[in-house]
Amino acid sequence: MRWWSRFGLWLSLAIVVGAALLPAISGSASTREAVFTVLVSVALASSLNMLLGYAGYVSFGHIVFFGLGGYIGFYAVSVLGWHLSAAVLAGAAASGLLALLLGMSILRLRGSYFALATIGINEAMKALATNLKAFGGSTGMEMHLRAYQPYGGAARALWITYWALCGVTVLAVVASFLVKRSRFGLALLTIREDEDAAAVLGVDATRAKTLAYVLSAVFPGAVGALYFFKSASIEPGGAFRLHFSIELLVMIMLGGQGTLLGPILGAVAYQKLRSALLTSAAFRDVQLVVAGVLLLAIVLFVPAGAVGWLRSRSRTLHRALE
Amino acid sequence: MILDVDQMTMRFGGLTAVKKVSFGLREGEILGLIGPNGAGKTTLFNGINGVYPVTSGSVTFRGGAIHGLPTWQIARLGLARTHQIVRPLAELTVRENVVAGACFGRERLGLRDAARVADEVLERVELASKADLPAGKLNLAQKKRLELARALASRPYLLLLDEVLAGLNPSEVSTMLETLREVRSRGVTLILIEHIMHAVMSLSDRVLVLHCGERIAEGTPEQVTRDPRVVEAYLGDPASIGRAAGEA
Amino acid sequence: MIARLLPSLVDGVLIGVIYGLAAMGLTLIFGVMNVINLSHGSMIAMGMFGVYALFTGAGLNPFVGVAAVAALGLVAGVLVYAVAVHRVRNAPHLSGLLATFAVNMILMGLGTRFLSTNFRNVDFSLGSFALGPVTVTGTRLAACGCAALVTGLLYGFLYRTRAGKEIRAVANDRAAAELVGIRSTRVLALSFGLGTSLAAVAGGLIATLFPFTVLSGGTYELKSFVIVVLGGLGNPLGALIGGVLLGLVEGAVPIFLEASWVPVIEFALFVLVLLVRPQGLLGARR
Repeated sequence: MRWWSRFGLWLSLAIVVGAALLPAISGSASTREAVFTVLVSVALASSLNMLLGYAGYVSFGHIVFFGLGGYIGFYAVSVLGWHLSAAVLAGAAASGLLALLLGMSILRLRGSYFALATIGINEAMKALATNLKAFGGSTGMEMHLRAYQPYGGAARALWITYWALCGVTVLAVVASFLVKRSRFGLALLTIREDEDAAAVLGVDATRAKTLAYVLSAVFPGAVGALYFFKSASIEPGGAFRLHFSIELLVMIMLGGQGTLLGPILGAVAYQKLRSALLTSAAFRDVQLVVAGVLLLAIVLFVPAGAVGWLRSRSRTLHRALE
Repeated sequence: MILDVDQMTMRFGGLTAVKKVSFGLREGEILGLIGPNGAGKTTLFNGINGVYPVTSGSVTFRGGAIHGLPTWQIARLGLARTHQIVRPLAELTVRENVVAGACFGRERLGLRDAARVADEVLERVELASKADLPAGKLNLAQKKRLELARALASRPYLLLLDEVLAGLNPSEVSTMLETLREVRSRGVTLILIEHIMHAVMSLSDRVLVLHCGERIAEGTPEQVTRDPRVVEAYLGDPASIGRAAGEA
Repeated sequence: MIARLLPSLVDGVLIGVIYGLAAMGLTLIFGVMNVINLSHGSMIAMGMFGVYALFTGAGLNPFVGVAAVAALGLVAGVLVYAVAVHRVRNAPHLSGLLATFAVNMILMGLGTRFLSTNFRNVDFSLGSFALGPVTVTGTRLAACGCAALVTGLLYGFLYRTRAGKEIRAVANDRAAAELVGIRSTRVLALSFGLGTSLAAVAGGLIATLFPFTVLSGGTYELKSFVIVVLGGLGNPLGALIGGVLLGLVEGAVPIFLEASWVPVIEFALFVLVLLVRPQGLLGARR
């Protein structure tokens, strides 16, 4: 019976690994690029879900960790000459540290105040990056193709980055699962339901929330470092795109917040929709409009998201779909 | 003395909700806390378990000062509490609610041990058949039992019960009273805020009466019911009510 | 340096009043229904384009066009409320945030599709005036005056009319207001419309001062967030004062640092206030 109780995890991993293997089978670079984009969203959405879905804290500016990790990682490789793996760890660590500092401050705020604060943090970071000459200021930084030499050239480097991203995504999903099933996860859920009642039960909410925030930040940090290494350039607007942050929320809501599978399915579905819209001549310019209508429909009519709705249908589904 | 409250005062801006209240509580006692609405009873609870700050005075629990500590720390020392308006963790199942109580309470159990304790407590409060339902779907009486179960699962030394009988019909009240007697027989000390007089008087060893934030009487149920100050402030004198009705 | 400071500060105060007007719209909606209207930016943009269209198309004096834009903003707001917000007015705040954000996405998508992202400019000049040692442009003075007038009208409405009283009642306690017979749905719709109307008016006034694009609304929306937090969420007077403060900051900072540091200071201030005094300088209504 034990494997059955982890069905949700196996299903989630199957989807992620299945997607990851597609480019390996076809050997095509364009498939790889498409899957890369999807996996970035999956990793980011799954991480944000740990804060949003489990603890109930809505962050609108979560992209700040992606951007920060990106900048630190980029700086490490292009300026300090570090190896990519060290740069990715540095990116993750920097984001984790920022989350730790923020955890001790803005996590005191509730609801809309917290949401606004996260927007403020993101915008402040963006503005800071625009002003720091060491990080390229408003034009950002660029990487020479020769930075890819130690990895066997640009083409190989792109594949290496891809596999690294697959690894990070799998880690994010597994971490999300482990948290949900752990005592720590239960603490987060009680905080989400009623933070004051949780304190009366003995939950140290500050510590739990901060830990959740740090966990939700390190994966975007690592992903950011990989993403911008691959892009060979980084600038403040692209690194701290508030809009991407909101799209993550759409993905989570679409799939089902608080579930393991939700962010994954939501990310896949959203990216598929987006690319379909971008390639269709009729809808290309209204991609934003369609996304907006979709989001509105979900919020108004199916707030539990696809997975949430399915789970409410039957006991079996409730247990099967994590 | 499991709990020693000394000259506790709680002030909120210009309003003093609790004024120099002192009392001691022996282990295994059941103390009833009564008084008119707005007397400061719930505020007193909030001061004891750290939800609101204590302006002056002290609260000592099992020999250690707890005033000024955060609520979660006080909970982990073995002081549990139920709320006047029930606060179930609605989206979680009944079992998960009680497991949470066991996980973060005095014994800090791991998930597996906590599940064991939870199932046992659910049996005791007769909610075992509802264990897999989302807590939000229970009726009021069941939610009250859930709140009690959650508190009991944390294995407290002292349990603060805030109007745990309110909204229950007479048979539900009897069942709850039985459960509370059983809880005390297992060694848990209880303080009970209640408005249902026959329940408080039959259950409590001692009764404390609050009025406008001050302690106006303390003693056995019989002593308190006969105390003229208590009658005037809260209980009402059946004889004088009869006379007034006659005059009308 | 001081010689440059004074004119900068005066300009800052003048535009600050307009910022304050926009922020008042946002804070009014929050105060009444606990929803942060994330379509605030689109409404500002709508105001900008409204005034522009009336000016270039019908030659209408922008300061008169602003009245038409106010009406447009009101109608738009009521529509947005009916379609997107009404259903989630009692749901957890994430729903309100996402619903209004979805509306924003739709409006911005339509805007970029049909209006492109080119810069527009309302080429209207009223000369300049000397106020003591300082010279200000006529348009800036007029825009500020207009904003002050609208603020006065708003206060008159809120405190002297029955509808205004109903709004304040619902803001105070919706359930209690319903109990005394106030039709809360109407009040909520009206409040939302009023909030967006203020945003549109502010947008129209800003259009007379600076060039803008379809995307400019977003920038001013962020400023509004900073202002409402500074002044206290739900507090209209706080929004006005917060707006003036922000205007002063925007005027003063470029004198001492590069202009690109203004957003850093603004957002650092924003986060600082949220941490140190989340109820804002004047105290939040919620």
